[in-house]
Amino acid sequence: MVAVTTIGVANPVLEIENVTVQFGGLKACNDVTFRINEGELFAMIGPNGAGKTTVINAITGVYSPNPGATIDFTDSGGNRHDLLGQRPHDIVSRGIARTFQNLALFDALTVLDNLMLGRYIHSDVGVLSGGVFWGKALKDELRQREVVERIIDLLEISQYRNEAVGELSYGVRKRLELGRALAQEPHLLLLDEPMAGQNLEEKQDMVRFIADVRSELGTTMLLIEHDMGVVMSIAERIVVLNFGQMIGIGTPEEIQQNPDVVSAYLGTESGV
Amino acid sequence: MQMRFKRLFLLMSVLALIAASCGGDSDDTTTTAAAGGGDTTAAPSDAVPSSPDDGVTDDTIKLGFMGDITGPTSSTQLFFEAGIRAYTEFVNDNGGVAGRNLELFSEDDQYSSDEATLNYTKLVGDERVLTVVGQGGSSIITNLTTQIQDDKIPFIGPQQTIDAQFANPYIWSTIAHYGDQADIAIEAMAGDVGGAANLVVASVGLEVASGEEWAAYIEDTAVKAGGTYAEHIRLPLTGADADPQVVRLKELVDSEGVNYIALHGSPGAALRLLGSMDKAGLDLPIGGIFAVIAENVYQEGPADLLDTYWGVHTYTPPNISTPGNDEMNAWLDANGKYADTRNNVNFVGGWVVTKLAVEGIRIAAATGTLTRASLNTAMGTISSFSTGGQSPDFDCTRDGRACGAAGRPYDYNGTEVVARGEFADYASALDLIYGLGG
Amino acid sequence: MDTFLQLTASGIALGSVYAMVALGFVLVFKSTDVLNFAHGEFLMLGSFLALTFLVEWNLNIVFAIVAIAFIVAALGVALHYGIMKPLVGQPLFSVVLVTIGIAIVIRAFLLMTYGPLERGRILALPQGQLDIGNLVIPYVDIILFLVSSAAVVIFYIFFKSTTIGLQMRAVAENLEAAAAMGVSPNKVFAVSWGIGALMAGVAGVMYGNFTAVIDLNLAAIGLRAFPAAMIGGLDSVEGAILGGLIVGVSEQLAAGYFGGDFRDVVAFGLMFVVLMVRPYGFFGTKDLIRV
Repeated sequence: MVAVTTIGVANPVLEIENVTVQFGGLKACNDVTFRINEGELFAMIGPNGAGKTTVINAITGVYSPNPGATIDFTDSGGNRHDLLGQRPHDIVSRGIARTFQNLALFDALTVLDNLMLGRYIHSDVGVLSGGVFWGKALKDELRQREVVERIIDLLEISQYRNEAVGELSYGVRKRLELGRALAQEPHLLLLDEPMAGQNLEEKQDMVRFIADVRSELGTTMLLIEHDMGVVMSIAERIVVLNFGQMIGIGTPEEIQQNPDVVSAYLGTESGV
Repeated sequence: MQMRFKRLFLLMSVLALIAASCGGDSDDTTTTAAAGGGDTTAAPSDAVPSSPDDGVTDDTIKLGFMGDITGPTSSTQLFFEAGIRAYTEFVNDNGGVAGRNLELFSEDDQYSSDEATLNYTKLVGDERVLTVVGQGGSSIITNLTTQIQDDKIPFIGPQQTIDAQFANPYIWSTIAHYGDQADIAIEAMAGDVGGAANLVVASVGLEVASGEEWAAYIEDTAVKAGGTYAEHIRLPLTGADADPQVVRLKELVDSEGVNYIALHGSPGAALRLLGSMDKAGLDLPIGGIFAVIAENVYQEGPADLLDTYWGVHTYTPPNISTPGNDEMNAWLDANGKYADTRNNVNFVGGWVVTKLAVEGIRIAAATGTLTRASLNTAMGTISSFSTGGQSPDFDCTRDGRACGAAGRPYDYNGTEVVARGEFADYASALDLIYGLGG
Repeated sequence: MDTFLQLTASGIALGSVYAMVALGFVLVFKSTDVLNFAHGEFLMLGSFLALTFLVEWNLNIVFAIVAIAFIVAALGVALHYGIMKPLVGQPLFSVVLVTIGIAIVIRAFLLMTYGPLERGRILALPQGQLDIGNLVIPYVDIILFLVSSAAVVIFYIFFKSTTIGLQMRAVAENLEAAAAMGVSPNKVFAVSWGIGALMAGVAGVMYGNFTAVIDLNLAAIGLRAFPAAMIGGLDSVEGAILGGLIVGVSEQLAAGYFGGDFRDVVAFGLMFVVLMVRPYGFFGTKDLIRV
């Protein structure tokens, strides 16, 4: 769709090796290994319970993988970080943003406040000066507001600006959550089923927004999505998980011809 | 990990057992020797046999104290305990009693009945003390009264006086009963307003059983004396202020012409009432129970109300010179002891009740046996025991073992607490009728 | 009618202290999920420090309030990092027991430092009274109300309009999402403990000028914060303020009309009635009841 791949296939943003997350005797994901290159839209697919969200939670520090795993992230400055053992909020500040499958917005706060919270890692006021609202803190707030307003325009949500999020429709909230992640200006964006629960029109909007973001910002993305049509049309490479196991990785064409993938999906075709 | 702890615990238990048995052995040998030596110095009448089950070992007599040393009423009881401790040291300094030293076992209950019950078992069951001196907490002694009767353990000079104590043949009360305090208070109030007929009194009390007792005696005494009783107003045990109570008092002043407050309470409760009266601009004279006479009330309370504020007490504050207080203060000065606690009337209280207990021990020992039973019997023979003016003379032959059924009001002259007259001046006011509180 | 107004006036003064106390209590609960049973002890600490600053050292009251607020807030932050932080994720009951332990330690510290004797009211504020007809309102009560209102308003602006306030609200609402924004929960927890303690400390200084007795029973005011917070809604800042005023006024009215023994009954009775009709309080979140 967009010729972003020319930016350099060799520059990895995320390298994952042998990631296994175990809950008691259950391996939610087992020996997952892949790498995402700079500028790439990398998709992760698989039936429900395949361990896709578990992988995201391992990347973001919510779960700790078994020993022997590697999760390395290279930030926009080219610095390599070992993410293992880091706390979620530290990982975020390295330049990784995410959305949640079931939405994790602040329902009692306004759209604007939600987006402002996305700017937190870029704000340089401390705890004490953050408690006042003049001088440096005020200047900082104005700077953050500029970024937030751009995102509001991009996502076409300006009419909801001062509404409490809990009052908004599901589709708008999904869009807002994407906006909040974008406000973080991430080097890597993790999207956990951004189109789930939306009608066709909203899905199309969302696909358009994701494409816009890529063309305007060139953000590297990891996308979890159930809608095969969407995935095949926008992803550059795909990894397929089934019961925690990787059963295929490659371009959309390669995946469509992978016999393991086809057989795994035939059983659950109706659910896809 | 757990295994290691278990083993450590086992090892410690074994060591403790060994230590305990060894300790027992050495105790036996040394005390026998000491008792042998004691015979030569002590008077023959003191050479009573030991009775370990009654807290009388070969070289010590065990006394117990149970009360609130660090809890909500510690501002009274801490000083009481200090006075008891001081007097036991004083006795030991002067050669002990019955050929032995006194040993005090103190148990802190922080005003909790459950804790107090546990402490009672520790003192009476485990330590086997001879007597419990100066116990504090009226609800606590009420709960324990059957137990005390079963164990036949003398309780000497509890800090409070309630009707329940009077029915128990092992409790020797030293503080004047609320009935007596009410008699004295009404007499003094009547004097202040120019006769009982002019007196319109309202009672204010903490919302506890003894507060209700106080109200009943004040009403009864005031009406019998020809005065008028308005009503009883309750103060919560703790709280911000007494604003609502003062609002009610103001109404009573307007509607019934109340001209005196009869106060039951702790120093804290008194300060709350005074503070709220001061804020509301209500200036009424206050006469109260023994507990309202506290140095800190005079130091911390609003000055303009304190010139008409007094309380009836059985014990004489330490700054007032009497032979007993002089002796106590001289000993304290000489030893430089109890600097933080000695300037408090409750310190004298603790000192005085221990003095009475020691007198009982002396009399019991003179009969040849010193046990809980003989001490209890001996207490009943004390008909006139002088504490050197630190209290009225104790007469434990009265009904209900009310050894200290007397008192007098104490006032503040701006610098220190002073007595309003002698104990004898108020003796005629006492009707010695108890039981109104049920 | 006079009596009613008189009691109400006194109740508003008292209620504004309760509101301040309940606010700190609610803030700590809202952000950190900890029911802080040492909250009353923070207040008591504020009152006793006020004795030292105002009575013993005769310092200026504004300076004393600021200094004590700072000390108590620092203690709150230190408690978070030293004691509460390692307990994150422990069962609610264990954490509550730890706060009870903190309460006992503060109480013991005060007993050892200040002794058991009751102290009288602090007279650092202008004494005297305002007479409106038959209504008598002491200046102290008025100042108390004004200072509490100012504290509550400053807090409210802080909470609603500043960056750190926004983070606090975010952490309170959705810890996971807040972490995904890069907000460090610990920093926010520490600030909440600091501000919660600060509110209690300032309330303690003011209360020391209001109550007739400063002693170790003062922490019982912390118990009043509980019905106040429950009535308003345990996770609602607005509710804490309203709840504090309701408890203060109804307590004084009940004590005035029915006797002092009704004081506790009315505060907790009201709480039960409100909880029966609205289990989440006036302003609370419905979700909270599943906790």
